[in-house]
Amino acid sequence: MSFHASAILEDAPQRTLGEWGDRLFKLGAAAGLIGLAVAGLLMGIGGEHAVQRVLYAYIVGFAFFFSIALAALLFVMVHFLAKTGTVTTYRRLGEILAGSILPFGILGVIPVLAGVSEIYHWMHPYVYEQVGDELVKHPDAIIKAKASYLNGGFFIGRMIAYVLILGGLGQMFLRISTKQDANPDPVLTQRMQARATWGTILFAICVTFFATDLIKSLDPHWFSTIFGVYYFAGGFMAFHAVLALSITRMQKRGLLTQSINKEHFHDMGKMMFAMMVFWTYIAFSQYMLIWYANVPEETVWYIRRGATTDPNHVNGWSYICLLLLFAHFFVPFLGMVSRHIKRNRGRLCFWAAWLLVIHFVDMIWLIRPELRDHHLAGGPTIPVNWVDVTALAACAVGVGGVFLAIVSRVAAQRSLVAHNDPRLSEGLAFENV
Amino acid sequence: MTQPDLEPQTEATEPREADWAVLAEFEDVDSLLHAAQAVRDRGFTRWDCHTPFPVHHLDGAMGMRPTRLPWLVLGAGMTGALLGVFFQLYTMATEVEHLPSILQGYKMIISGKPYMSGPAYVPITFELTILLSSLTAFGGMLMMNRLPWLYNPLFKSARFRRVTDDRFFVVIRTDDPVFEDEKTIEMLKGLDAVSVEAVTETVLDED
Repeated sequence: MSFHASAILEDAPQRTLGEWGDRLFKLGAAAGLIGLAVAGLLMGIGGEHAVQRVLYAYIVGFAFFFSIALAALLFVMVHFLAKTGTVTTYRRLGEILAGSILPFGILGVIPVLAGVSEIYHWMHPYVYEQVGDELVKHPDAIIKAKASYLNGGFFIGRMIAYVLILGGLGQMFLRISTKQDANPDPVLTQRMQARATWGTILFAICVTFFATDLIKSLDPHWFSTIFGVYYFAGGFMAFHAVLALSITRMQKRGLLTQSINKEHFHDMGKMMFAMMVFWTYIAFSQYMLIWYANVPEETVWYIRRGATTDPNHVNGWSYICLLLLFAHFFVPFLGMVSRHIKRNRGRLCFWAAWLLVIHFVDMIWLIRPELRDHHLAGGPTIPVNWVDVTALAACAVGVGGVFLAIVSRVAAQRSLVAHNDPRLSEGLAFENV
Repeated sequence: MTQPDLEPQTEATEPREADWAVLAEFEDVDSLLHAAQAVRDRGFTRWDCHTPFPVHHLDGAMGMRPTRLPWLVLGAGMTGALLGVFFQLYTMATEVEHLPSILQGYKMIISGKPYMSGPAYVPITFELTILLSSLTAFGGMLMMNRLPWLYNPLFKSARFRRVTDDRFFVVIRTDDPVFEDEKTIEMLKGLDAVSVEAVTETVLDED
């Protein structure tokens, strides 16, 4: 009854992606090239504001996939901190995703840095007023006051720093853990546990500032101290959904069939569920304080997104608000609350896919309403048209393809199980009570 | 003239020892799991296992049915949510005709919000949901396990003290419908038990 790690692992015929990894790399690279090429083409033929529309769609795609990779890094560190036995059978997959942060981040921030002047209103700290046929330029006092933080040079420097720090952490854990595959020394585990302490703190700081810079500063007039947690909560949920879906796919191909079973899937389902509720908690906390205080400079962010019952401010985004409320909380809450759902592979995968889609919608809702005419600061959101929709699809495929290519290259010939982890047998024998 | 009888009419009954259970001791998890399966397959219902730490797969080996506690918790949680919404609506958004003033709600505008403002109701509703769910989960767990016990006859066994250290035990109650004195003891001995002993309970007979 008690499992023996070695016996189980010897049964597994194959533990690396092998040739399939090469095929995934080619598939991802092709999808990435096509998607990004379509996005680039749209910039040329999309008419008015096409460059901005495509760049905003790109940020949606980048923020979505990067949140998953970032959550993987925290997943690895948190489970080292807690000395968790349960996740040892699939922790390597998290390490591979975390190891992808550096290459993915370096490639991914390039369009953001190149388009910083097109994307961010704070690059143009002026308010324009229409006087007759002329636009009269006034300085924007609020942005001027924030200029020491929100300026092009510092922004680019910060973005590079986030990618290097978070990517470096991901590389470090992947490297040490891979080293343990050849050298079954528990000291390596202790080293990773020790580094996870300051790693977690560094992660929290970097992710908070990253979310603030990339997404929140799209509206430099608005502020919310909980915003970084909001971004991270959705990402952590999406990461566990990706885990469940990708492990199911791998097991169909005969990988990891011995080491990951129903109990581990149940665990992933619990984390998905918990983080879905946590996202709701954070999103509501942010909303309720602003709603209650009703200060115009804070409510404007929600009014732009239609999160109001005032008929004068209800707009197209109001439907997305309702969609988030129901499809990001009520429906999956009732759908996933039972343990029988989480222990059924097909149903769990259904909800995992559902939550991934809704996390993408969440990113759209965060980012796209900020696309306004820079010449009329505080003006209305530019309406969504076919260019946005096509660009969102192209960027989802394109950035996702690049992400897949990078992940499959990082995984390459690595073992998909950290088979020398001292707590592996504990993870194999794990059972939910 | 009769002498008043100062002695109590009934005699105090002596406490006596009655058979309560059979205790079998095992040296490791594997033999415990093996024994639990055997006891389960022989149809025993009033029995239990005691271990120094949580043992995976023991539930299955003992043939435990899935708990019904989640349904209780679900019911309590939904009750809490409905109560929360109802109380807030009643106290803050209603004014009922012909109701004595002591039972009336206070219809009052607070910071310019409508009487019935959903977001403001959420925290209380949430807290009540959690409060009732967690209290029910805790109380329900105790009730379903028939806890707390102030005293357990097993504590009299010297061997049983090692249950918090390095030994594993199977306890079969004598009032189990399938229990048969010698046969059950022989069965446990046959399951690699290190020792098998009877546990008695001190009872006061009351006629």
